[in-house]
Amino acid sequence: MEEGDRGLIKRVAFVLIDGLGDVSIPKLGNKTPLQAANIPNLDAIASAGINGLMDPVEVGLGCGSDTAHLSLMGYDPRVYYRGRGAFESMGAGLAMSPGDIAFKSNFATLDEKSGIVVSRRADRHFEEEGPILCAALDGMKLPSFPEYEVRVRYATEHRCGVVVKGPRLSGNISGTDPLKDNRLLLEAKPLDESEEAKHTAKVVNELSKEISRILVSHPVNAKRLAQGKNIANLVLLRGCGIRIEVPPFQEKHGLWPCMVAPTKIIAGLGMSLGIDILEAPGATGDYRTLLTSKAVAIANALSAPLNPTPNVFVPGEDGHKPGRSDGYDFGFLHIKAIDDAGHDKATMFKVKGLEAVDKAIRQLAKLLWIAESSTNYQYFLCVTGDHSTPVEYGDHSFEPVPFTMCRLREFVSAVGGESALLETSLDPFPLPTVVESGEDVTDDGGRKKAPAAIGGDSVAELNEIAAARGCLGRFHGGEMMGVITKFLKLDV
Amino acid sequence: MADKPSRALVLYGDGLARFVDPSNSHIHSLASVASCGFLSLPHAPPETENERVVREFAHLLDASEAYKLASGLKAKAGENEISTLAERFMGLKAALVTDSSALTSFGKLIGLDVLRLCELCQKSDTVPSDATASELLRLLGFEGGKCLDVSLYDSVFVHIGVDEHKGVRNIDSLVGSIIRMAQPGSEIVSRLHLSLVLSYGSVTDKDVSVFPVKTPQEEGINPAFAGLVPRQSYTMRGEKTRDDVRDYCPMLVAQWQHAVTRKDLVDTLSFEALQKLCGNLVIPADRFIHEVAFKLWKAPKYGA
Repeated sequence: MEEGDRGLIKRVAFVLIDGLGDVSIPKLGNKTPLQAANIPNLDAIASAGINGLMDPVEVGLGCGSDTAHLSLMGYDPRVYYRGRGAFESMGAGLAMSPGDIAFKSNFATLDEKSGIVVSRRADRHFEEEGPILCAALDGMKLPSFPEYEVRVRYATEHRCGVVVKGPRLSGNISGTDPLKDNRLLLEAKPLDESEEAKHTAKVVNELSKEISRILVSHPVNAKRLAQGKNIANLVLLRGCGIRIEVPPFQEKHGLWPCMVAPTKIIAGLGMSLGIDILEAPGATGDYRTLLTSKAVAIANALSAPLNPTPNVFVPGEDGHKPGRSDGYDFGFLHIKAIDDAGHDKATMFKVKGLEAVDKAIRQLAKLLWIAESSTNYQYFLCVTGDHSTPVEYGDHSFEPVPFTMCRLREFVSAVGGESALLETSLDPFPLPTVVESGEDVTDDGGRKKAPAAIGGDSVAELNEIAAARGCLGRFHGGEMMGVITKFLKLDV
Repeated sequence: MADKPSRALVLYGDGLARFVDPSNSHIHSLASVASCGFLSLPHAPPETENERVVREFAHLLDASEAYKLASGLKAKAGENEISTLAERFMGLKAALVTDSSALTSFGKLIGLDVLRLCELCQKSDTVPSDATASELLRLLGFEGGKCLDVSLYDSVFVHIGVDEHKGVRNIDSLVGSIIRMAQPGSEIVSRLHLSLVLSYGSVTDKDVSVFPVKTPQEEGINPAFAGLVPRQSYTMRGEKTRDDVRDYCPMLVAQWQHAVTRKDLVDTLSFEALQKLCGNLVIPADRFIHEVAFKLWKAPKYGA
């Protein structure tokens, strides 16, 4: 975004920490993980900028990452949301044309005798075997419906994308996922009276059976059985969806967007909005991810052409294409591991994971500051979440998330000045290994006192409680891009 | 426990917010461990006191459409137009405990089982508040300090009106009894989701300046950023702006469940303390039931 006579180019690094919010946890001394973590850099952003509490979609509405992301990016999910399947599949690399349907899919374990889904996630660590099984399913035929093409591609963890291409398909059908373990596998059913929906349900039910037939006899499962592991003899098909058609992000907000999101559903959602998905080697979208790699990719994208812009992902093709040569104005850095910690009920990992995110944000800030110091770019840092994932609940909930944004220049002051920031190591680091224990955490983990508030309000730390004192109050996620674009234009 | 559905007890002090004082120590004690905030209401139409009682309760249950139909403010388009709470929230089993006859009729209309508060209180043979608390908890499947697998209700709404003598003192004692029974480590504390809602009842012009809804915070704000303040959640319904928000005399709310709610900085349940220290700020009163239903696993996640 170019601004005024001074020729300043304003760009924002937007860090979305999936599942960021939480509730007060007794074993953390009734603090939230954000309150318990030692996060001086996240606190510095809050101290240097503006703050508020954000209801991702609406007050009291627990939402998925897909609807929440749509809302935050300025697309009302009630208008645009058509199911998760298309996002997951596009993110997994499957090209989708109008009329194709897609599913968000899990490799799962079925008790064939009883028809009960004994485990909805055959294995969270499925990175080696998942792609092999997906290759076995990709291009499979449906005996009763030979006119349909089935494409399957591995996503992350236990997830894959499944696309069905062909005539007379409807996205308005239910899925096969019973949503809880130890329940009967469901049959897909039409959700309206149309012939297309009825026909699609039949196609999908045959697809589910054929997938299981192929998987049962696959050598990967024979090996897993011999090892005493859950076999992946089922793919749960849920969130049937069609590709949404929306005004591109750049047209809507006037910012050229890019995204680092190894989590396939987020990448697919980004692509649906016209956001370029950057290559970031080592960023995996799970606990093995290298946050530094994400920070470097976003920093390069936001500082191009000073630095080479990363390559971008193209669905349906194995290779990448060069990114935008002039770089990007809005760099979306998605972090999934914190949400995973919430789902896994890993309290201490959520705390320590947030500390790792804090470290990576400092690396990102350093890289951007080096660029800002030698160019006419002016950078902003913005951090928020897409929903709360309370770690003792293990799933998403409705509680609002903190939102914070500052100019990089003020952040540098808040962390002790340029020389302190430039001492930051840019060495990649893994997410911490944490042993969860049932013991209460009584110390404060060496948490430093938050810096004094020097920005737009009296808030000096990033957490759910402090954010309520922010100048932005409590607002819907649909307002967020308006806050960001106005701040970029603000001449303080 | 956070990973099991909660059972909700909502104590609603109708018109009692202005009567809370420092001596109501149990109410303040609850606030000090709870997530506190305001529930905003729409402007009131010309109405009788009974109509106000029903209308505001209807907002709390997001049933204002049912209220409009029942009170003739909106013409019925057909039979069965009024949805029950169970239909709207995945089979939610709910009871209303009240002595208000107007509220009794409305409660039945939206599918609540209605019990008389005075009868519930009469069952006491020990400390009155302890007996009432035990009876309320029994309705939710908590007996003898244990949580039964099956309960009569998932949620119980207790309406305590301003005309009932000793209103605030009764609520204060009741809160004290409930908190005593829901001690840390007990089966009750892990499943009981307790809300205390206090409203201002009938309002006057004087209240406009005494109890104003002011968000965001005005203290410590750099005026240069004033233009960035977005539309507030309490002023919106979906993506649309609500055009009838009363920006004074919101309900006060404190919600608490061990390991399920947030603990903010509030240590006194008063308008002033909530304005300065609450963690929940202001939400529309008609979203309250959605939050409660979610904790009971009676409201689905939107999206995947």
